Amino acid sequence: MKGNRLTEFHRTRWRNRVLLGVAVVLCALAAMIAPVQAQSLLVDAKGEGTAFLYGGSFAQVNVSDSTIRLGYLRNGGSGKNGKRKPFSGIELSGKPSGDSVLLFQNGTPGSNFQVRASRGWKYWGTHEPDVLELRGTILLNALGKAGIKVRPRSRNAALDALRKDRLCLVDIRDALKSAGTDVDPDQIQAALHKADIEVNQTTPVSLKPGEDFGDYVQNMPYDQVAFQLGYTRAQYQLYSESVPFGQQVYKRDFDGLSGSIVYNLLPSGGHSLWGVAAGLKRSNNFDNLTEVEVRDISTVVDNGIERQVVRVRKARRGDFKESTDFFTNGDYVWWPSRFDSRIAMDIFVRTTPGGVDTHVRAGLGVFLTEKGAPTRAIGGLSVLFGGETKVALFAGIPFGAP
Amino acid sequence: MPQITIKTTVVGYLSDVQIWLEGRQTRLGYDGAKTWSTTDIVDDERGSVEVALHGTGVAGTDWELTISELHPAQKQLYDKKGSIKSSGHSFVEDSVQLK
Repeated sequence: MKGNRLTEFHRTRWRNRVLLGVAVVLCALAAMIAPVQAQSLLVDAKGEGTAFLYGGSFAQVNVSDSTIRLGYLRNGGSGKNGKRKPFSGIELSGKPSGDSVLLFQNGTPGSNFQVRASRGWKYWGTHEPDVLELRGTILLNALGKAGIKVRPRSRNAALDALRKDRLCLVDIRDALKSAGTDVDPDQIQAALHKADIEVNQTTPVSLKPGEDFGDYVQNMPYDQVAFQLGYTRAQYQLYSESVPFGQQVYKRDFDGLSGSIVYNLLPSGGHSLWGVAAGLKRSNNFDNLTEVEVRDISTVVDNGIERQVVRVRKARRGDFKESTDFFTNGDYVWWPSRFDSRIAMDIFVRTTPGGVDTHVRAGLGVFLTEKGAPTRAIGGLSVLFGGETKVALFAGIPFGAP
Repeated sequence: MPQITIKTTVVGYLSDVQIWLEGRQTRLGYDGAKTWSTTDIVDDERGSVEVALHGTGVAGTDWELTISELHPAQKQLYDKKGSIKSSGHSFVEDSVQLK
C-alpha cells in the first residue's frame, strides 16, 4: 500500500517535471519569437486591404482557407529639402495544392498564386513640416491649452511669424498681435511656462530638454499614395452537364492583371487611418457559381462481396466568365486608446460596380497588435458580408526584423 | 575646427521620422524594418550638438533615439526612449554633450 503511494507520488512528481519542462520550452520558444514579429495584417478574408503599414517583412496564414502571404514593405527614408525616396513593397500569396502551398512549381507559378508590387510617396497631399513650423505649432497649441487662442483663420499668419530660429517673448507677442490676439507678455510667459516652455525677453524659446512635446503637435495630418500592380494566377475546378460525360469535371486556368492607386491618410490624432483604393482588375465570377460535390462511384464485386469506391470532387457549376472591371476599396482602421493601441479594428468596403463579379461587400476585422508596435498585428479575425459571408482567422508568423 | 563623426539612430515602427542636427535636417537611411539612421560630421567647438526628433505614427508606437560617436572615439553619447502621443506625433529637442 505504502509502496503504491510512493510510486504514485514519484509518477506525479515526474509528470509535473515533464509539464514544467514543456512549459519552459514553450516559454523559451515564445521568448525567441516575441522580438521578431509580423506586421501589416489588416486585410479581409480575400487578402484585400488598403492600409500600408511599416514594419519590414511579414508572413501571414489565413487559417480559414490556408492561404499564406509573404510581404515586405520598404519605407523610403526621409531626405533633405523636401525630397523623399519613394517606398516600395512586394507581396506574394498562395493557396495549398494537395498537402503543400505551391508558390512555384517546376519554375512556374503554382495553381493559386498572387503577386503584388507597390511603389508610393509620402506627404502626397499633406505638407511635410520643418522644425521651425513644428516649434511654432507647439507654441500656439501650448498657448491654446492655457486659454490664449488664435483664431483658425489667423493661425497660418501666426505660424509664419513664428518661423524664427531664435524666438523670444517679444517675437511671440508680436506674432500673436499680428494674428489678432493681443495678450499681455506676462500671460504668454506664464502659459508657456506651464507647458515646460521657457521664454523671456532676450533668451530664445527653450522647450524642456528631452521632453516629448508630441501632444502639442496637432493639425498635422500625414498621407501617402501608392501605385500597385498585381498578377493573379488561379486554377478552378468546374462542372458542366453540357459536355461529354468524361469531361464534365474540368480545370480552368485564370490569369488576371490588376492596377490600382492607393491612398492612405493618418488624420490629426494618432488613433485612426483611412485607406482608399481604386483601379482596374481582371476578375471572374467563380465565387458566384454554385458549389457542387461530384461523386464518381465504381463498384467491384468479388466472391459475393460488393465494394464501392467513391471519388469525391468539389467543383462549381455554372457559366464561368471573365471581365475587366473597375473596383474601389476602402478601409477605416481604428486603434482604441482604451486598449493602448493593442487592438486594431478595420471597417472596410469592397465594391465592383460592373462586370461579371458585380458586388458591394463590407466587413469588420479585429486584430491584436504587438505591444509598442500597433502596426504589427499578431493575429485577428475578419468577417466579410455581402453575398457569401466569409470569416477569416489570421495568424502572423514572425520573422525578419530583429 | 575640431570635428567628430556621429551616428544618429531611431528604432521604431513609425510612419515617418525627421531628425535635425543643429537645426539642419539630416538625410535618414532606412533598413526596411524599423531602424532609421544617419551619419554626420559635426563641429565640436561648443562641446554639444542640438538634436530634434519628429516622429509620426500610430499612437502608442515605441521609439528609441540613440546618438553615438564613431570618430575619433567610439562611444554612445545619448539615448532617449519614448512613444508616439495621442496626437500621432512625438517631438523632442535636446542638447547632446559631445565630451
